[in-house]
Amino acid sequence: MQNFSTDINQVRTLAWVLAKASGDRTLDVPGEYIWAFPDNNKFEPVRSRYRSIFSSGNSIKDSEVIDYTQSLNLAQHLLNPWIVKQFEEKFPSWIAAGTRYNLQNFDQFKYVGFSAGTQESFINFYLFNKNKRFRVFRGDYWWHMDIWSKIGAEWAYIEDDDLRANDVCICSYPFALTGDKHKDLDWLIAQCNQQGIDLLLDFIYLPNSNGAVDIDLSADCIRQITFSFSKTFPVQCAKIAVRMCKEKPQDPMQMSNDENICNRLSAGLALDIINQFPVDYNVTKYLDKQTYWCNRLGLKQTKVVHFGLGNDYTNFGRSTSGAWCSPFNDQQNRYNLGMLYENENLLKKLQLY
Amino acid sequence: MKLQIIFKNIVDSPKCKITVANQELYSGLVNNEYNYDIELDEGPCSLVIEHWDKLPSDTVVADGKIVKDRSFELESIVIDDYNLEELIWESKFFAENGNVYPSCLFFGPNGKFIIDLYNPVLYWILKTRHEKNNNDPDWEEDYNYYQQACRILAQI
Repeated sequence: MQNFSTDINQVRTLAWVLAKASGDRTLDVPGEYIWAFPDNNKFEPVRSRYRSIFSSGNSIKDSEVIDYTQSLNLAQHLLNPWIVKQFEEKFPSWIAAGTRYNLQNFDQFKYVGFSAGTQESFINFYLFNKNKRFRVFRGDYWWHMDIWSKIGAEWAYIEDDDLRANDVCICSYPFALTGDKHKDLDWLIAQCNQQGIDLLLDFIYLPNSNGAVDIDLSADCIRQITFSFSKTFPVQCAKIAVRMCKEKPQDPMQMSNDENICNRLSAGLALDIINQFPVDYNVTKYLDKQTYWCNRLGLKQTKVVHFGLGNDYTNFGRSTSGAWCSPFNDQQNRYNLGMLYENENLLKKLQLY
Repeated sequence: MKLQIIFKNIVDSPKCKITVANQELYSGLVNNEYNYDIELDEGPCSLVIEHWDKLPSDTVVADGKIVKDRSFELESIVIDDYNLEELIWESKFFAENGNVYPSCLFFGPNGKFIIDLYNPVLYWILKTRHEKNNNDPDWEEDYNYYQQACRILAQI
C-alpha cells in the first residue's frame, strides 16, 4: 500500500471538530443524510460521525448550487412531458463542452437515457448480464460487490483471475479509489476488445476531474457509459444520472425512458442545473482549496477536485477499524475534502483554516 | 457536574443523604428525582447515598413474612447528560451492620451506597467500560480529541 505523509493528528482534530459541530448543528452547510446528523453532541454519536467525516464520494455541498436549487420551482416540471427529453438532449453537449478531459468519439453514444442514479443503470447492467461473471478492479465502487454478493451473482476482482469470455467488466474513470486513471485500464480495454467482453465505463467523477481522463471511446468493448450527478452537485437524493449507449438498449430502464415515465422532478432539476453551471464548475472553484488542504494535511492531491489521498485516519496507529457502510468499502485512504471546503467560514472562526 | 438521581419503589417514607466528593447535597425524605449542578474539581470523586433513620419497627413481619419494609431502589444516575447505564452496578452497598453487598441498588437496611467516579464522568465511563469489556482500546485518545473539539468549538 502506498504510504503518505499525512498529518494524522491534524486530520483527526478537524474530523472531531466537524463531527462535534455536526452534533451542535453549527456547520456552515449541514449534511445530507441522517447519519450525518449525530443524535446529540455527546461523545458516542460524535465519535460515530467522526469516523465518516472524510468518507463517501459525494459532491461538495456548494452553497451557491444549494441556494440555486432551493430557488427553483421543480413542480412545474411535472407538467412538462418533454422535460426528460430536453435534459437528455442537452446533457451530451454539456459534457462535451468540458475542456479538462478528452472523450474521443463521444458522439458514438447516440442513445441517452435518464437514470435514477447510476445505481439504476448498474442494476440494469446486472440484470441484462445476469448469466455472466462480473469483474471489477479492487477499490472500485463497493456497491457493485456488495450487491453482487447479496443477490448471489458470480463475480471476481479482475486482479484475482484471468478475463474469460463469459465475463463483463465495470470500471470507473477516474477510478473511484484514486481519482485518476486506473493503471491497468488500457490493458483492460485491450483485453476486453480482444475477447469480446463488454466494459461499462463509469464516468462517475468526470465533471470534477482535471486532466485525468483521455480516452478513445470507439473501442468496441465500450458500449455504454454512465455519469453521476450526485458526485458533482449537491442533489444526491434526487437520484440523477445518465447512461449513454452506442446501440439502443433493451432493458427496464430504457423502457421507462421510452414510456416517458422517468422522474420529471429530477430530470427538470438536472436540466436547470446544467443550464446554470458549467461542467467544470467545481474544478474551477475548488482547485486552489484542494491544493491548500492537501498541502496542509499531507495528502496527495488527486485529479478529482474533492479528493485527496492519505493514510487512513481511522486506522492509522489504531487497533480498531471498520469499513464504512459495507465490507467492500475499501476507500479509507481516499479523503473527501468537501466538508473542509463547505465549512470554510466555521473553520476560519475556529482558526483551523 | 450536572447530577440526576432517580429512585423508584419508595416504600414508607425512607430517608437518605446524598453526598458527592464530601459535599452533602441533600438529607431528608427520599424523593423520586434529584437534580443538581455542582462545582467540582477534576479528579476522583465518590457519590454516596446513605439510607438512614430506619428503625427495626419499620420492618413489619406477619406470619414470618415481611409485609411492609421501609426501603427504596436506585433506578438511574445521569451525570453531565451521560447515563451511567450498566455501570451503575460498579458500586457497593455498605450496610450499617457491616455486610457489604456489591452491585446492590436496593436500599433495605441502613447503610451507604458508594460509587467511585471521576470528574469528568465521561473519562470514567469510557475507562471503566473498556476495563470491563476490553473492547475500546482507543477510548483515551478519542476522549482527548473529543475534549479538544469541545474546547475549540466553545470559542463560538
